[in-house]
Amino acid sequence: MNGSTGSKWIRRPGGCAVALAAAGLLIAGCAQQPAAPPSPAAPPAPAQAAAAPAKPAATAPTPSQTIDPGILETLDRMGSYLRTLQSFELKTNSDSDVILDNDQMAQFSRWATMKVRRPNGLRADIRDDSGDRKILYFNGKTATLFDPDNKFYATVDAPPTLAEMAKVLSERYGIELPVADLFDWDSNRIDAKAIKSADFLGYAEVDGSMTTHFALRQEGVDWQIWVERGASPLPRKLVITSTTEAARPQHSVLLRWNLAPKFGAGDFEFKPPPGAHRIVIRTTEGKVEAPGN
Amino acid sequence: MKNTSGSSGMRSTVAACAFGLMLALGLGYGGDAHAQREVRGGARTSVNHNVAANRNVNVNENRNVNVNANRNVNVNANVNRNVVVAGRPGYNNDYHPVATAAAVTATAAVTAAAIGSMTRTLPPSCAMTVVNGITYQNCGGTWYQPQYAGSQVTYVVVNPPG
Repeated sequence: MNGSTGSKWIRRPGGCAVALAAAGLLIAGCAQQPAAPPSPAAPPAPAQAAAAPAKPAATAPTPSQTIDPGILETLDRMGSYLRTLQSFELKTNSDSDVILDNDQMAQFSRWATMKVRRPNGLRADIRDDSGDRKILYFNGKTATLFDPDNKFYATVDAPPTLAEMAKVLSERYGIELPVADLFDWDSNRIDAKAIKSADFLGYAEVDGSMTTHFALRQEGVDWQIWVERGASPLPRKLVITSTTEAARPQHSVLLRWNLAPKFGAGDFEFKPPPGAHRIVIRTTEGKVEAPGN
Repeated sequence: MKNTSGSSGMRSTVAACAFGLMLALGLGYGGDAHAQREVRGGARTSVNHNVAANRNVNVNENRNVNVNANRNVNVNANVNRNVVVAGRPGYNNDYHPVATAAAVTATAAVTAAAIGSMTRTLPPSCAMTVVNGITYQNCGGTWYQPQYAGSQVTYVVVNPPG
Protein backbone atom coordinates (compact mmCIF):
# COMPACT_ATOMS: atom_id res chain seq x y z
CA MET A 1 0.00 0.00 0.00
CA ASN A 2 2.99 2.18 -0.25
CA GLY A 3 2.07 5.19 -2.22
CA SER A 4 4.48 6.92 -4.40
CA THR A 5 4.09 10.25 -2.75
CA GLY A 6 7.23 10.01 -0.72
CA SER A 7 7.56 12.03 2.38
CA LYS A 8 6.13 15.42 2.87
CA TRP A 9 6.54 17.62 5.82
CA ILE A 10 3.55 19.57 6.87
CA ARG A 11 3.91 21.97 9.69
CA ARG A 12 1.00 21.73 12.02
CA PRO A 13 -0.03 24.70 14.03
CA GLY A 14 2.17 24.79 17.07
CA GLY A 15 5.24 24.17 15.02
CA CYS A 16 5.22 20.44 15.19
CA ALA A 17 6.41 19.06 11.91
CA VAL A 18 4.82 15.84 10.94
CA ALA A 19 6.15 13.56 8.32
CA LEU A 20 3.67 12.22 5.91
CA ALA A 21 5.28 8.95 5.33
CA ALA A 22 4.68 6.97 2.21
CA ALA A 23 1.05 6.14 2.29
CA GLY A 24 -0.29 3.17 4.00
CA LEU A 25 1.92 2.26 6.90
CA LEU A 26 1.63 5.35 8.94
CA ILE A 27 -2.07 5.55 8.44
CA ALA A 28 -2.57 1.91 9.24
CA GLY A 29 -0.57 2.60 12.34
CA CYS A 30 -2.93 5.37 13.24
CA ALA A 31 -5.80 3.05 13.41
CA GLN A 32 -4.43 0.10 15.23
CA GLN A 33 -2.16 1.54 17.80
CA PRO A 34 -3.60 2.36 21.15
CA ALA A 35 -3.96 6.01 21.75
CA ALA A 36 -0.66 7.37 22.77
CA PRO A 37 0.26 11.01 22.73
CA PRO A 38 2.65 11.62 19.92
CA SER A 39 6.05 12.90 20.77
CA PRO A 40 6.37 16.15 18.96
CA ALA A 41 10.09 15.82 18.68
CA ALA A 42 10.26 12.48 16.98
CA PRO A 43 8.71 12.09 13.59
CA PRO A 44 6.34 9.17 13.73
CA ALA A 45 7.49 7.89 10.39
CA PRO A 46 7.84 4.16 10.39
CA ALA A 47 11.04 2.61 9.17
CA GLN A 48 9.47 1.98 5.85
CA ALA A 49 9.39 5.61 4.83
CA ALA A 50 11.19 5.51 1.57
CA ALA A 51 12.31 9.07 1.16
CA ALA A 52 14.63 10.70 3.61
CA PRO A 53 12.50 12.78 5.92
CA ALA A 54 15.13 15.41 6.23
CA LYS A 55 13.60 18.02 3.98
CA PRO A 56 13.34 21.17 5.98
CA ALA A 57 9.93 22.68 6.20
CA ALA A 58 11.30 25.88 4.83
CA THR A 59 11.02 24.49 1.33
CA ALA A 60 7.30 25.04 1.36
CA PRO A 61 5.53 21.70 0.99
CA THR A 62 3.57 21.47 -2.17
CA PRO A 63 -0.15 21.10 -1.71
CA SER A 64 -1.15 17.52 -1.95
CA GLN A 65 -2.88 16.63 -5.14
CA THR A 66 -2.91 12.98 -4.37
CA ILE A 67 -5.07 10.80 -2.25
CA ASP A 68 -3.44 8.96 0.56
CA PRO A 69 -5.10 5.56 0.31
CA GLY A 70 -4.60 5.00 4.00
CA ILE A 71 -7.02 7.80 4.66
CA LEU A 72 -9.73 6.24 2.57
CA GLU A 73 -9.11 2.99 4.33
CA THR A 74 -9.47 4.63 7.71
CA LEU A 75 -12.66 6.35 6.67
CA ASP A 76 -14.09 3.09 5.38
CA ARG A 77 -13.19 1.47 8.66
CA MET A 78 -14.94 4.31 10.39
CA GLY A 79 -18.03 3.66 8.28
CA SER A 80 -17.93 -0.04 8.96
CA TYR A 81 -17.61 0.60 12.64
CA LEU A 82 -20.53 3.00 12.62
CA ARG A 83 -22.57 0.33 10.89
CA THR A 84 -21.99 -2.04 13.79
CA LEU A 85 -23.56 0.36 16.25
CA GLN A 86 -27.14 -0.74 16.64
CA SER A 87 -28.03 2.01 19.04
CA PHE A 88 -26.27 5.17 19.92
CA GLU A 89 -26.85 8.62 21.22
CA LEU A 90 -24.82 11.35 19.64
CA LYS A 91 -24.53 14.84 21.07
CA THR A 92 -23.28 17.48 18.73
CA ASN A 93 -22.28 21.08 19.03
CA SER A 94 -22.16 22.93 15.74
CA ASP A 95 -20.90 26.33 14.76
CA SER A 96 -21.89 27.53 11.33
CA ASP A 97 -20.86 30.53 9.33
CA VAL A 98 -23.43 32.66 7.68
CA ILE A 99 -22.29 35.17 5.11
CA LEU A 100 -23.53 38.68 5.54
CA ASP A 101 -24.09 40.95 2.63
CA ASN A 102 -20.75 42.65 3.14
CA ASP A 103 -19.07 39.26 2.92
CA GLN A 104 -18.43 39.29 6.60
CA MET A 105 -18.98 36.07 8.46
CA ALA A 106 -21.27 35.64 11.40
CA GLN A 107 -21.24 32.48 13.40
CA PHE A 108 -24.28 30.78 14.84
CA SER A 109 -24.37 27.74 17.06
CA ARG A 110 -26.64 24.90 17.81
CA TRP A 111 -26.73 21.76 19.86
CA ALA A 112 -28.36 18.48 19.12
CA THR A 113 -28.94 15.15 20.77
CA MET A 114 -29.57 12.48 18.22
CA LYS A 115 -30.80 9.05 19.24
CA VAL A 116 -30.50 6.32 16.68
CA ARG A 117 -31.89 2.83 16.90
CA ARG A 118 -31.22 0.88 13.77
CA PRO A 119 -32.53 0.17 11.35
CA ASN A 120 -35.07 2.92 11.21
CA GLY A 121 -35.44 4.81 14.46
CA LEU A 122 -34.17 8.32 14.82
CA ARG A 123 -34.97 11.19 17.10
CA ALA A 124 -33.09 14.44 17.10
CA ASP A 125 -33.64 17.17 19.68
CA ILE A 126 -32.14 20.34 18.38
CA ARG A 127 -31.68 23.67 20.01
CA ASP A 128 -30.04 26.71 18.52
CA ASP A 129 -28.44 29.69 20.12
CA SER A 130 -31.55 31.77 19.78
CA GLY A 131 -33.38 29.32 21.98
CA ASP A 132 -35.38 27.80 19.19
CA ARG A 133 -36.07 24.10 19.62
CA LYS A 134 -37.12 21.46 17.19
CA ILE A 135 -37.58 17.72 17.48
CA LEU A 136 -37.32 15.45 14.49
CA TYR A 137 -38.80 11.93 14.60
CA PHE A 138 -38.32 9.11 12.15
CA ASN A 139 -39.81 5.65 12.47
CA GLY A 140 -39.14 4.04 9.13
CA LYS A 141 -42.37 5.30 7.61
CA THR A 142 -42.73 8.99 8.32
CA ALA A 143 -40.63 11.86 9.48
CA THR A 144 -42.13 14.51 11.74
CA LEU A 145 -40.74 17.88 12.62
CA PHE A 146 -42.17 19.32 15.80
CA ASP A 147 -41.67 22.66 17.47
CA PRO A 148 -42.35 22.22 21.16
CA ASP A 149 -42.83 25.94 21.67
CA ASN A 150 -45.42 26.84 19.06
CA LYS A 151 -46.57 23.21 18.88
CA PHE A 152 -46.66 23.15 15.11
CA TYR A 153 -45.65 19.94 13.47
CA ALA A 154 -45.37 18.60 9.97
CA THR A 155 -45.30 14.96 9.01
CA VAL A 156 -44.04 13.65 5.70
CA ASP A 157 -43.69 10.22 4.17
CA ALA A 158 -40.16 8.94 4.44
CA PRO A 159 -38.21 6.07 2.93
CA PRO A 160 -37.44 3.15 5.22
CA THR A 161 -33.73 3.65 5.81
CA LEU A 162 -31.81 6.31 7.70
CA ALA A 163 -29.60 7.19 4.74
CA GLU A 164 -32.47 7.59 2.31
CA MET A 165 -34.48 9.53 4.84
CA ALA A 166 -31.58 11.92 5.40
CA LYS A 167 -31.35 12.44 1.66
CA VAL A 168 -35.06 13.10 1.23
CA LEU A 169 -35.17 15.52 4.12
CA SER A 170 -32.24 17.39 2.67
CA GLU A 171 -33.17 17.42 -0.99
CA ARG A 172 -36.92 17.57 -0.86
CA TYR A 173 -37.48 19.66 2.23
CA GLY A 174 -34.23 21.45 2.91
CA ILE A 175 -33.89 19.94 6.36
CA GLU A 176 -30.42 18.86 7.35
CA LEU A 177 -29.80 16.43 10.14
CA PRO A 178 -27.16 17.44 12.65
CA VAL A 179 -24.48 15.28 11.03
CA ALA A 180 -26.11 14.56 7.74
CA ASP A 181 -23.10 12.67 6.40
CA LEU A 182 -23.22 10.09 9.15
CA PHE A 183 -25.65 7.85 7.34
CA ASP A 184 -23.73 8.08 4.11
CA TRP A 185 -20.53 7.08 5.79
CA ASP A 186 -22.04 4.08 7.42
CA SER A 187 -23.87 2.88 4.36
CA ASN A 188 -21.43 3.54 1.56
CA ARG A 189 -17.80 3.16 1.02
CA ILE A 190 -16.13 6.49 0.65
CA ASP A 191 -16.30 7.45 -3.00
CA ALA A 192 -12.68 7.81 -3.95
CA LYS A 193 -13.63 9.30 -7.29
CA ALA A 194 -15.18 12.27 -5.58
CA ILE A 195 -12.07 13.06 -3.59
CA LYS A 196 -9.47 15.28 -5.20
CA SER A 197 -6.92 15.13 -2.45
CA ALA A 198 -6.57 13.81 1.05
CA ASP A 199 -3.87 14.55 3.55
CA PHE A 200 -3.02 13.25 6.95
CA LEU A 201 -2.26 16.17 9.21
CA GLY A 202 -1.11 14.26 12.24
CA TYR A 203 -2.55 13.20 15.52
CA ALA A 204 -4.71 15.56 17.42
CA GLU A 205 -6.55 15.53 20.66
CA VAL A 206 -10.24 16.24 20.44
CA ASP A 207 -12.33 16.37 23.56
CA GLY A 208 -9.81 14.27 25.46
CA SER A 209 -9.44 11.54 22.85
CA MET A 210 -6.62 11.05 20.42
CA THR A 211 -7.62 11.24 16.82
CA THR A 212 -6.13 11.22 13.35
CA HIS A 213 -6.72 14.48 11.57
CA PHE A 214 -7.44 14.32 7.85
CA ALA A 215 -7.98 17.09 5.37
CA LEU A 216 -9.82 16.26 2.17
CA ARG A 217 -10.80 18.18 -0.84
CA GLN A 218 -13.77 17.58 -3.09
CA GLU A 219 -15.66 19.59 -5.61
CA GLY A 220 -17.04 22.62 -3.86
CA VAL A 221 -15.96 21.59 -0.40
CA ASP A 222 -12.87 21.13 1.71
CA TRP A 223 -13.47 19.06 4.74
CA GLN A 224 -11.57 17.91 7.74
CA ILE A 225 -12.36 15.01 9.96
CA TRP A 226 -10.85 13.83 13.18
CA VAL A 227 -11.24 10.09 13.61
CA GLU A 228 -10.70 8.56 17.02
CA ARG A 229 -7.68 6.30 17.27
CA GLY A 230 -7.91 2.85 18.71
CA ALA A 231 -10.74 0.39 18.86
CA SER A 232 -13.54 2.82 18.12
CA PRO A 233 -12.84 4.81 14.98
CA LEU A 234 -15.58 7.33 15.55
CA PRO A 235 -15.74 10.75 13.97
CA ARG A 236 -15.09 13.23 16.76
CA LYS A 237 -14.94 16.48 14.87
CA LEU A 238 -15.87 17.64 11.45
CA VAL A 239 -15.14 20.91 9.71
CA ILE A 240 -16.67 21.64 6.34
CA THR A 241 -15.47 24.61 4.32
CA SER A 242 -17.52 25.70 1.36
CA THR A 243 -15.15 26.57 -1.43
CA THR A 244 -17.75 27.72 -3.90
CA GLU A 245 -18.00 30.88 -1.86
CA ALA A 246 -15.07 33.24 -1.94
CA ALA A 247 -15.72 34.00 1.69
CA ARG A 248 -15.16 30.29 2.44
CA PRO A 249 -17.68 29.87 5.20
CA GLN A 250 -17.17 27.04 7.60
CA HIS A 251 -19.35 24.65 9.48
CA SER A 252 -17.81 22.75 12.33
CA VAL A 253 -19.25 20.02 14.50
CA LEU A 254 -18.00 18.45 17.69
CA LEU A 255 -19.33 14.94 18.26
CA ARG A 256 -19.77 13.16 21.58
CA TRP A 257 -20.83 9.58 21.54
CA ASN A 258 -22.77 7.40 23.94
CA LEU A 259 -22.66 3.86 22.66
CA ALA A 260 -24.77 2.42 25.47
CA PRO A 261 -27.77 4.69 25.48
CA LYS A 262 -31.01 4.12 27.31
CA PHE A 263 -34.01 4.88 25.19
CA GLY A 264 -37.54 5.50 26.40
CA ALA A 265 -40.38 3.47 24.98
CA GLY A 266 -41.88 6.41 23.13
CA ASP A 267 -38.69 8.14 22.09
CA PHE A 268 -39.06 7.54 18.37
CA GLU A 269 -42.80 7.96 17.97
CA PHE A 270 -44.30 11.39 17.84
CA LYS A 271 -47.54 11.81 19.73
CA PRO A 272 -49.07 15.25 19.26
CA PRO A 273 -49.49 16.84 22.67
CA PRO A 274 -52.61 18.80 23.53
CA GLY A 275 -52.69 22.02 21.56
CA ALA A 276 -50.48 20.75 18.78
CA HIS A 277 -51.38 21.68 15.23
CA ARG A 278 -50.33 19.86 12.14
CA ILE A 279 -49.35 22.34 9.45
CA VAL A 280 -48.30 22.16 5.85
CA ILE A 281 -44.73 21.95 4.68
CA ARG A 282 -43.10 23.49 1.65
CA THR A 283 -40.69 21.59 -0.49
CA THR A 284 -37.50 23.15 -1.72
CA GLU A 285 -39.25 23.58 -5.05
CA GLY A 286 -41.90 25.67 -3.40
CA LYS A 287 -44.65 23.09 -3.50
CA VAL A 288 -46.87 23.00 -0.47
CA GLU A 289 -47.68 19.60 0.92
CA ALA A 290 -50.77 19.48 3.04
CA PRO A 291 -51.85 16.75 5.40
CA GLY A 292 -53.82 14.11 3.64
CA ASN A 293 -52.17 14.75 0.29
CA MET B 1 -24.76 43.86 22.01
CA LYS B 2 -27.34 42.34 24.22
CA ASN B 3 -30.84 43.47 24.40
CA THR B 4 -31.05 45.54 27.50
CA SER B 5 -34.76 45.96 27.61
CA GLY B 6 -37.78 44.23 26.30
CA SER B 7 -38.09 40.49 26.02
CA SER B 8 -36.78 39.02 29.19
CA GLY B 9 -34.44 36.15 29.03
CA MET B 10 -34.25 36.03 25.30
CA ARG B 11 -31.46 37.23 23.19
CA SER B 12 -33.04 39.55 20.73
CA THR B 13 -29.97 40.61 18.96
CA VAL B 14 -27.01 39.15 17.33
CA ALA B 15 -24.12 39.63 19.67
CA ALA B 16 -21.98 41.46 17.32
CA CYS B 17 -20.79 44.82 18.31
CA ALA B 18 -17.46 43.20 18.74
CA PHE B 19 -17.53 42.38 15.09
CA GLY B 20 -18.09 45.93 14.22
CA LEU B 21 -21.31 45.23 12.46
CA MET B 22 -23.94 47.79 12.25
CA LEU B 23 -26.92 45.70 13.00
CA ALA B 24 -30.49 46.58 13.12
CA LEU B 25 -31.17 45.67 16.65
CA GLY B 26 -34.14 44.09 18.25
CA LEU B 27 -37.16 46.00 19.22
CA GLY B 28 -36.48 47.42 22.59
CA TYR B 29 -32.86 48.06 21.92
CA GLY B 30 -32.95 51.00 19.66
CA GLY B 31 -35.87 50.25 17.47
CA ASP B 32 -34.91 52.28 14.48
CA ALA B 33 -33.57 50.52 11.51
CA HIS B 34 -30.35 51.95 10.38
CA ALA B 35 -27.63 50.15 8.53
CA GLN B 36 -28.66 46.54 8.39
CA ARG B 37 -26.98 43.35 7.52
CA GLU B 38 -28.63 40.68 5.55
CA VAL B 39 -27.70 37.12 5.08
CA ARG B 40 -26.72 36.15 1.60
CA GLY B 41 -25.43 32.66 2.07
CA GLY B 42 -23.74 30.29 4.41
CA ALA B 43 -21.64 27.24 4.89
CA ARG B 44 -22.90 23.96 3.66
CA THR B 45 -23.37 21.56 6.48
CA SER B 46 -22.81 18.30 4.72
CA VAL B 47 -20.05 16.87 2.61
CA ASN B 48 -22.34 14.63 0.66
CA HIS B 49 -25.46 16.70 0.29
CA ASN B 50 -25.24 19.82 -1.70
CA VAL B 51 -28.27 19.54 -3.70
CA ALA B 52 -28.04 22.41 -6.09
CA ALA B 53 -25.44 25.08 -6.49
CA ASN B 54 -27.92 27.87 -6.13
CA ARG B 55 -29.00 26.58 -2.80
CA ASN B 56 -25.66 27.43 -1.44
CA VAL B 57 -26.28 30.99 -2.25
CA ASN B 58 -29.57 30.81 -0.56
CA VAL B 59 -28.57 29.04 2.57
CA ASN B 60 -30.71 31.35 4.52
CA GLU B 61 -30.51 29.82 7.87
CA ASN B 62 -33.20 32.20 8.88
CA ARG B 63 -30.82 34.02 11.08
CA ASN B 64 -31.53 37.03 9.05
CA VAL B 65 -30.35 39.97 11.00
CA ASN B 66 -32.92 42.27 9.53
CA VAL B 67 -35.20 43.55 12.13
CA ASN B 68 -37.56 45.95 10.56
CA ALA B 69 -36.97 45.62 6.90
CA ASN B 70 -37.49 42.52 4.93
CA ARG B 71 -35.10 43.15 2.15
CA ASN B 72 -33.76 39.67 2.21
CA VAL B 73 -31.56 39.11 -0.77
CA ASN B 74 -32.51 35.51 -1.19
CA VAL B 75 -32.55 34.67 -4.81
CA ASN B 76 -34.74 31.65 -4.48
CA ALA B 77 -37.00 32.43 -1.63
CA ASN B 78 -38.65 29.08 -1.99
CA VAL B 79 -35.44 27.24 -1.57
CA ASN B 80 -35.05 27.74 2.09
CA ARG B 81 -32.31 25.39 2.93
CA ASN B 82 -32.10 25.20 6.62
CA VAL B 83 -29.79 23.63 9.02
CA VAL B 84 -32.48 22.90 11.50
CA VAL B 85 -32.12 26.11 13.30
CA ALA B 86 -34.36 29.05 13.80
CA GLY B 87 -34.08 32.71 13.47
CA ARG B 88 -33.40 34.65 16.56
CA PRO B 89 -36.27 36.17 18.39
CA GLY B 90 -36.66 39.80 17.67
CA TYR B 91 -35.69 39.39 14.09
CA ASN B 92 -38.34 39.97 11.61
CA ASN B 93 -37.13 37.41 9.20
CA ASP B 94 -39.32 38.31 6.37
CA TYR B 95 -38.33 37.09 3.04
CA HIS B 96 -39.99 37.46 -0.26
CA PRO B 97 -39.55 36.28 -3.75
CA VAL B 98 -37.25 38.64 -5.53
CA ALA B 99 -40.03 39.97 -7.65
CA THR B 100 -41.90 41.44 -4.76
CA ALA B 101 -39.03 42.24 -2.48
CA ALA B 102 -38.74 45.78 -3.68
CA ALA B 103 -42.38 46.46 -3.26
CA VAL B 104 -42.72 45.63 0.38
CA THR B 105 -41.38 47.67 3.21
CA ALA B 106 -41.28 46.84 6.85
CA THR B 107 -44.39 48.43 8.13
CA ALA B 108 -46.33 48.02 4.94
CA ALA B 109 -45.77 44.32 5.05
CA VAL B 110 -48.07 44.00 7.97
CA THR B 111 -50.90 46.14 6.85
CA ALA B 112 -50.98 45.45 3.16
CA ALA B 113 -49.30 42.15 2.74
CA ALA B 114 -49.41 40.67 -0.70
CA ILE B 115 -50.86 37.23 -1.08
CA GLY B 116 -48.00 34.82 -1.14
CA SER B 117 -45.64 36.95 0.84
CA MET B 118 -43.95 35.32 3.75
CA THR B 119 -43.01 36.38 7.19
CA ARG B 120 -41.41 34.76 10.15
CA THR B 121 -43.30 36.74 12.72
CA LEU B 122 -46.95 37.51 12.95
CA PRO B 123 -48.52 40.82 13.73
CA PRO B 124 -50.21 41.08 17.07
CA SER B 125 -53.76 39.96 17.71
CA CYS B 126 -54.01 36.83 15.66
CA ALA B 127 -56.53 34.10 16.13
CA MET B 128 -55.61 30.56 15.25
CA THR B 129 -58.29 28.84 13.20
CA VAL B 130 -58.53 25.48 11.58
CA VAL B 131 -60.49 25.36 8.33
CA ASN B 132 -60.91 22.07 6.53
CA GLY B 133 -58.13 20.59 8.54
CA ILE B 134 -55.65 23.34 7.67
CA THR B 135 -54.38 25.68 10.33
CA TYR B 136 -54.42 29.43 9.79
CA GLN B 137 -53.77 32.56 11.72
CA ASN B 138 -56.29 35.28 11.18
CA CYS B 139 -54.65 38.56 12.05
CA GLY B 140 -57.12 41.36 11.79
CA GLY B 141 -58.44 40.15 8.47
CA THR B 142 -55.12 39.12 6.96
CA TRP B 143 -54.91 35.36 6.83
CA TYR B 144 -51.60 33.64 7.32
CA GLN B 145 -50.95 30.02 6.80
CA PRO B 146 -48.15 28.59 8.89
CA GLN B 147 -45.87 26.42 6.83
CA TYR B 148 -42.67 24.63 7.51
CA ALA B 149 -40.03 25.80 5.05
CA GLY B 150 -36.98 23.78 5.83
CA SER B 151 -37.07 23.50 9.55
CA GLN B 152 -38.55 26.93 10.16
CA VAL B 153 -42.15 27.90 10.49
CA THR B 154 -43.03 30.71 8.17
CA TYR B 155 -46.32 32.39 7.69
CA VAL B 156 -47.63 32.87 4.19
CA VAL B 157 -50.34 35.35 3.43
CA VAL B 158 -53.23 33.53 1.81
CA ASN B 159 -56.72 34.29 0.71
CA PRO B 160 -59.27 33.75 3.43
CA PRO B 161 -60.09 30.05 3.31
CA GLY B 162 -63.46 28.43 3.01
